[in-house]
Amino acid sequence: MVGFTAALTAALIGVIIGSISGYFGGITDDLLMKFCELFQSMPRFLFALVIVVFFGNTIWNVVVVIGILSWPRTGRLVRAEFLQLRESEFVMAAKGIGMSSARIIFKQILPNAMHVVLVTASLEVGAAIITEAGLSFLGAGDPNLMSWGRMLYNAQRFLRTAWWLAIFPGSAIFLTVLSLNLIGDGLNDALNPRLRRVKR
Amino acid sequence: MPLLANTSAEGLAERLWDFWKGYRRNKGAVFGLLFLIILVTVAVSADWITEFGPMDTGVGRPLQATWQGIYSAAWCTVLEFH
Repeated sequence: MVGFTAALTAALIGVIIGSISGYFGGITDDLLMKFCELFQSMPRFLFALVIVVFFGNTIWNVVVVIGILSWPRTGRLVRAEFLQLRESEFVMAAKGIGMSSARIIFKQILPNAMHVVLVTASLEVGAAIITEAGLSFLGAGDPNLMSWGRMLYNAQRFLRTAWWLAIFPGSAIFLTVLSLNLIGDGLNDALNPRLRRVKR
Repeated sequence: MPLLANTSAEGLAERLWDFWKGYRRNKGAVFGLLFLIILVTVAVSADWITEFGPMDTGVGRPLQATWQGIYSAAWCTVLEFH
């Protein structure tokens, strides 16, 4: 749940900023990309740790922090797709019939860039699960909720006597993140129009 | 293209089928999806699978089945992280 909610937050912010940046270009693009670089230059895990320690380690703080720190990758990829698609004929046609910028962005270009968002979001879910597990492992997760990271944190004291307490949550994290990455690959195969053209 | 897209229910079903045809070519992705479905199913039905809460951890009798009552006997070590 943490992974999906954080990835959804990251996708939402990334799509909004990436689409505005890619569609309008110019100074808007420059400013938004500098803002994006600001987030990319921060060490993600350490920043998340500091924020969670300062603002409290509730589950929603963890989700929001991971989401806020994860959007730049989605934002950059959406921007790149928008830069390419805004020169397309169907966008020119939409502009020609007087569609507003918001309608062109959300009704015309975004559906064609959704494969990028879905693939990145599936990878972000895995990254968010690892970040949350890392935070919980260090004791910065929500103490009122159980998570695989927290199970690993609790298992530290029993590594010699009860190894399975660490092995099963660790394996669950590994297999889930692997599955999400494989799903991302599959989504890319199925949704990326360039790959589809090559295979058919 | 969206300007010409078929938005009817049949069109949606056709697009979903096309998506699935592309997706299932990647065996790893099918495995990943199956694993995730199993994981979510187990998580959702956890209340019926086991009577113990997620915050309870028993390390006293490692090989004892849950139905034998890991919390009931006095000889059992139970650690509860609350």
